[in-house]
Amino acid sequence: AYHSTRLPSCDHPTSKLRLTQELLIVGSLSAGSTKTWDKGRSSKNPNPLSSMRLMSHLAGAPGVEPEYVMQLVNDVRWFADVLLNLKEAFRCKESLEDLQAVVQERLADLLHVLKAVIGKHQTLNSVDILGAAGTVIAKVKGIDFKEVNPENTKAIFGEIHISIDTLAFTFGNVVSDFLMGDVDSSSGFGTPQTRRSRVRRCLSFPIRLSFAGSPGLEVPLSREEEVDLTLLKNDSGVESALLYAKAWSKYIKDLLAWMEKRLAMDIEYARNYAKMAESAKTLACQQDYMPFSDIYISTFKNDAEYRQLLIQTAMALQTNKFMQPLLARKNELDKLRKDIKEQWQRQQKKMQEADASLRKAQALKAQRREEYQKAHSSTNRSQEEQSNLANKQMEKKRRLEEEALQKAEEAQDQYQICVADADMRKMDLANAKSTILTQIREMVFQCDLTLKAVTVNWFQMQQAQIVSLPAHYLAHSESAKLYEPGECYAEFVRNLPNNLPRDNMHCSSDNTSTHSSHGNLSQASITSCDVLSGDDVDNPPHRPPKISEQRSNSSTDIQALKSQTSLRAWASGSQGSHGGMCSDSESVGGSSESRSMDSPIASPGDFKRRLPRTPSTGTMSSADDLDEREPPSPSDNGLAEMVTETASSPGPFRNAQMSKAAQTHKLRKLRAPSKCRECDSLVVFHGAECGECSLACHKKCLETLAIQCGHKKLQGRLHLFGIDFAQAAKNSPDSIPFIVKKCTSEIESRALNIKGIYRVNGAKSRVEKLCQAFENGKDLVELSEMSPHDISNVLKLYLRQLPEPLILYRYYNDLIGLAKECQSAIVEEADKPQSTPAGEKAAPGVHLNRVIFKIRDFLQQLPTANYRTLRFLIAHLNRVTEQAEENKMTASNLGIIFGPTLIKPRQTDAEVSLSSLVDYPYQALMVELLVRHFKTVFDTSLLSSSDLTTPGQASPRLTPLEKIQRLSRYSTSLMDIKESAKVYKRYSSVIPSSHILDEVQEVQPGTDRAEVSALEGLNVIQRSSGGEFQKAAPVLEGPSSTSVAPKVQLRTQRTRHVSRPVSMPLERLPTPPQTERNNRYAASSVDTNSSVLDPVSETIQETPETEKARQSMSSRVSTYYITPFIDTQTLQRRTWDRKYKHYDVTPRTAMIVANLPSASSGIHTVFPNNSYTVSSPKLPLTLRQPRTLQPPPGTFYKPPSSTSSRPRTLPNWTTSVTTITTTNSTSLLSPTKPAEIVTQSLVITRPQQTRLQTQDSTDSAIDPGVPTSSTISPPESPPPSSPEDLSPSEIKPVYQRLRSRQLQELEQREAHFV
Amino acid sequence: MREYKVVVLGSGGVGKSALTVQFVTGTFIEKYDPTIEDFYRKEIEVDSSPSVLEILDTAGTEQFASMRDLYIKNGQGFILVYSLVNQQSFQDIKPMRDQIIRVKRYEKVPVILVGNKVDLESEREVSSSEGQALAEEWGCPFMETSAKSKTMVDELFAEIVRQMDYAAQPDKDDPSPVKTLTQHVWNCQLHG
Repeated sequence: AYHSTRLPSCDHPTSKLRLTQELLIVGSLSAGSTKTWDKGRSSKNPNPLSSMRLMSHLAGAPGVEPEYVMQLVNDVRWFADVLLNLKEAFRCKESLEDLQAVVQERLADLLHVLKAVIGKHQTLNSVDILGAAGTVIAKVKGIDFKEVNPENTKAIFGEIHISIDTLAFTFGNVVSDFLMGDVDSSSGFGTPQTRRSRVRRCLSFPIRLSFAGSPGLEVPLSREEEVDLTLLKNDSGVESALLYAKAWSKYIKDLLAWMEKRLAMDIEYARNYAKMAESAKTLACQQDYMPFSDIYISTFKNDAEYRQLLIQTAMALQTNKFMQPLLARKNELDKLRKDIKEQWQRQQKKMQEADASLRKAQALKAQRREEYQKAHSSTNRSQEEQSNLANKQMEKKRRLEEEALQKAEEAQDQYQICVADADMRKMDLANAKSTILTQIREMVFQCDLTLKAVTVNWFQMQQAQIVSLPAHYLAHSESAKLYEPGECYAEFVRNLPNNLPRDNMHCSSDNTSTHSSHGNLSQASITSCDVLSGDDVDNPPHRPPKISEQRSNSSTDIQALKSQTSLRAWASGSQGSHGGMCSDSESVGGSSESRSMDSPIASPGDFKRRLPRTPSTGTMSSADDLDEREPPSPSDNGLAEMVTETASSPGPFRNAQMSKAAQTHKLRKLRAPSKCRECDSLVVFHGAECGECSLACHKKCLETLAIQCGHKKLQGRLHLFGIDFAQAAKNSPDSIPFIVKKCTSEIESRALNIKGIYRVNGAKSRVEKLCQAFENGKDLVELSEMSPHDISNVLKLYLRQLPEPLILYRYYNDLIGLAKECQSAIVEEADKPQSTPAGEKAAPGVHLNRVIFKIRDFLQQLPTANYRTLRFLIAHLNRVTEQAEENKMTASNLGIIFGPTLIKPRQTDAEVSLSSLVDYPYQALMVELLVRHFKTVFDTSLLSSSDLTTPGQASPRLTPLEKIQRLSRYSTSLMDIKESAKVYKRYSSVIPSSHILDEVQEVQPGTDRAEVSALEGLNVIQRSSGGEFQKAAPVLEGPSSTSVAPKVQLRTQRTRHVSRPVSMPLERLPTPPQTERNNRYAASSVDTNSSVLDPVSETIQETPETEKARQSMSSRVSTYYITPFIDTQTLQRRTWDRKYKHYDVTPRTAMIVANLPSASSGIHTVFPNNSYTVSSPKLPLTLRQPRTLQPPPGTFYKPPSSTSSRPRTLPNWTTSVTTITTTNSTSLLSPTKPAEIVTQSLVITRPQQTRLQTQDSTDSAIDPGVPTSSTISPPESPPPSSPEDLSPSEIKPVYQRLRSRQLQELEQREAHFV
Repeated sequence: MREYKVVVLGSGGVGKSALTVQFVTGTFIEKYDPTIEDFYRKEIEVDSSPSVLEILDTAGTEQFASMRDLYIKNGQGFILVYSLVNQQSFQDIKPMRDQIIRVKRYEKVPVILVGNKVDLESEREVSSSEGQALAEEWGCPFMETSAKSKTMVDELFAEIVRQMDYAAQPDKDDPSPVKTLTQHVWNCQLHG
């Protein structure tokens, strides 16, 4: 309102106006509203309204009290007026005299006002104003009005004008400064500095413009200020800013995503590279004398390091160098954006509200005003019209008018308020906007800063990474250039020793390229190994022992090279790859070695050549990266396999859980559906196949796969369980099926202390799986991960499922009988006071021992394979019992377990339960005895070395001392003649069949017949007494009753032993014990020679000894002699002895027999027919001998025509072995005859034999004889008929004895035995 | 006098003999001997009437499995024992019950599931709940015993007798002719 009144009118209205405008602008600026400023700026010719608005805006200036500001503004106006007056005074074309007065007056006014203003507003007390004022005063005072004339008015006055302008300008500045707020004064203007500067600049611009064209110095706005400014101007500035922020955020997000992916890939890439480089380096280091090896090694090293660095960098980038800060920033930005948006929206809403209310108020005001106007006009009208009207109407009208006026005023006020409110809001909004914009700008700034930092970092890091590479490569290339081809090869050759012609020969050829030499060397080793291994390829079971041999051979060779582990690796590896040799679990290492063979490491460049050598190219499948920078990459798959050796194969099975056995395979993806070797189901998908042995299985089954790689084609599924034992035994060199060996060895290795081993069952499913594995993988099965109970179950299962148990059906009854014997013996001994307190192990009682020996001899009837396997198994069980403290599995427990497994009767279903129940205890007892008396039962020295688990080769089972002890022990109990008679029966019971008996009868002339008949009679007698008789004739006769006649058996065994010493001395080089025995025998023979009777008595005395379970002793003796100097000999003897082990012949008795001069005559009588010499039935007679009388001297003596007889006999032997064998068997039968003569002759022969023995020791011709005869007999005949075995063995000893007369005698004797 | 024929079944080493001997003699045998087959008779009082309990202690080791059919045929009540410190024995027992049902051709055979060796709580491998669950599945009582500490041994045999009584009631499916026949066969087997 006051605006209109205050509009100055002046001569130069424009200038004044302008000045006022400026002042007004100043005033408006004090309000701090940019909008108003904008408005002010934009309007050159402000209409009153706008000015009014400006003024009204002025009222709502924040931060400074409105009244004060108004006052200030008023004062400023006042000052401006005065100043203008002064200026006008100079402009006025008045008389100079007046001018001076006027000027002076106006100047005084001005100063006064200035003082007042400055006094009121101390802040305006600035130097500038005062200075400017001073200038004006001076100038004005300096006017020499006398000099003033119209000419120089302009000039003089121009200066004054200028000074006045300056003053105005200064004043205005100061005021505006003040209004904007100093740095010192508190101000609510947010960012004063920029604002002020901004405002100042804005201010200065128009002021300059108005003050007559001092060129506006355009102060360049800073970028931020420009940004802010622009945005401020912009209505939707905030929105734009926010939009930008959003765009920035998205951009960063994309950037981050890319970076993340890139880094991840970088890391992975680098890791793989590093791994490859590492492995390549390791392998490269192993090879000596390779060209460029050190360069490559250093390359690998560097590469590895570089990759490590890469990884580190990438990780750093991932974390604090790039991604994280940027991410954080972005999040911040987003948050800010959101906040700002909200804020802005709030402000805007408020603004809108204020605007709305303002408008409303405005409308109201207008309305009221109109009302007032109306009232007023009506009042006036009525006043005019009716001057003398009643006052009431007038008053009423006036009152109305007043009311209307009041209302109008009210409305006006309200409107004002609203306006003020709206203004405030607007200002708020503007503030908010600017704040927001600032915030945004700053945020963006920060974000940019971050982005800049991380980007720079990244690039710097990249640069740092790569910076080292060029130099490195350059260096390597330089050094590589220096290498002379063939250098390394030459060096290698130089370092070879000279003593390996083979290798040298092979290596000589190609010297030019290291690569080919590399190949040659490997070729050399391959061929060398081929030579050694050629014959083994066909014989898989023999692989295991021979491989180790070979490998040791070749390795020693190569070691002699004193160079490279690589060569060694090559050789063994070549073995592996060529022969497929490494089949054992022990040779897993070999398989890995073969890898090295197959993927040679540092041969430069020719990777293609390498690949074909690898058996399983599947592993080197797709990614054959022959990048020059990373040479070993194609081989890395294989190398990695080998190097880690525990890692799964690359490719599809990297993550598969693999059992130990599975790791030995070179796995690749299964191509065609096949049968899974682990679970026996079809595998189509997710299958794995081994490249070497083509074992297929599910990926899942890899975890439990138990079959190792044999490096050659895996056999198809065998039938293992339920297969005839003989078949299974055939596949094994020592007749023990591999499954038995493997299981027992595994249990022995780690399970001997497990409580309840063999008793506790394993998991059925696992056991089944293991069975399957065995069927699929044969002896390649890896057992180390199996539970021992599972393994024990498999073993038991195998034995149970044999169609015929280990102890064949036909031996069942006899064995049960033996068991019953044992039982009674044990019972007997338990009753006796002197029963061994220490338990059965320490010193088994006599009776028990007897039975045990019986068992032993009985078992010898088993087929070789069965016997061996049984022995092996029992040995193992014996070892288990050694740990009985821990595992609680004593011999009796094991007996219970294994009884029905090993000893089963042939039975139909109907019989099962009853007989089983009844016999179980005996089966158990039998097995218990076997286990407990293992050493006794399975005379380990009786058997060939290859079978033995214990080295029983050199020394006999008993030391001489032991022998004496036994002798003394047994000498106490006497056997009566009756018993001796019974021996015959026992003997007969052992002999196979009666028809052979008949044959014997046929053969034997005269006296023998009598003997035979006597024997037969005895047979009959015995038959009544016990079925033992029959029972003891196991082989060819059917199963008989199970009654036991221990004594009979005893006899039989004893008689068997008698024969033994006859043969033994001749074949043996005398061992010290033997010699000792020989001496003893010689002594006794001397004794016997002295008197005929003495030996007889001695023999008689001896007989009791022999009667006793002397079979043990004699068996000892027999074993004594059977030290296998020559394996074949032993075999011979064994087979022979086995048949005759029930002959209880002590060396002493033999000697005595031999010494009897009458023996010779007996011998003579016995050998009428040469053809029957071998098959002499006198054998049985010899057994009888010790007991009773001496046999006729010539009983077993071959006539002097022995030399002629020898060739005679020889052809007989060679041509008609079979007949001989039958006759041999008949002679076996003949011992049943209780012919005294026979026994005497036997006695006689013994000493002769022993004499011969001594002679034989000197006679070296014996030995050659042995092998020749041995060649006649097959050492290991499958299920042997005992007769057949006899003949070859018989031939041998007999042959020898023909050398001399005594030899002949002995031979005859032998023949009789046969 | 009534005769109850009980068969103690279970895999090897779970404590069948120990349980039986503990019940019959009141002592705990420490020895670790695999049984082939043992037979015990003990007079007991059931509902104040004297009865004879004939207990057949069987072999647990697998190779004697062929004998099982026979004595399942002859047995009236069955005690299925497993060792709760041996998970495997718990697994092995399930097919045994199937065998019983198969041989008997009858589902509701008096059976008690027993988890033995409860004195070895620290080595427990089979939880009570597992045993309980299996017993519920079978519809039979469940006990955890210890032959060593005499826990629940007498209760066990009392319970099996009760079960046999319950099963032998006339309204049950178990026809007495069959029962007497089995009894007869049983006697023949044992004394023949």
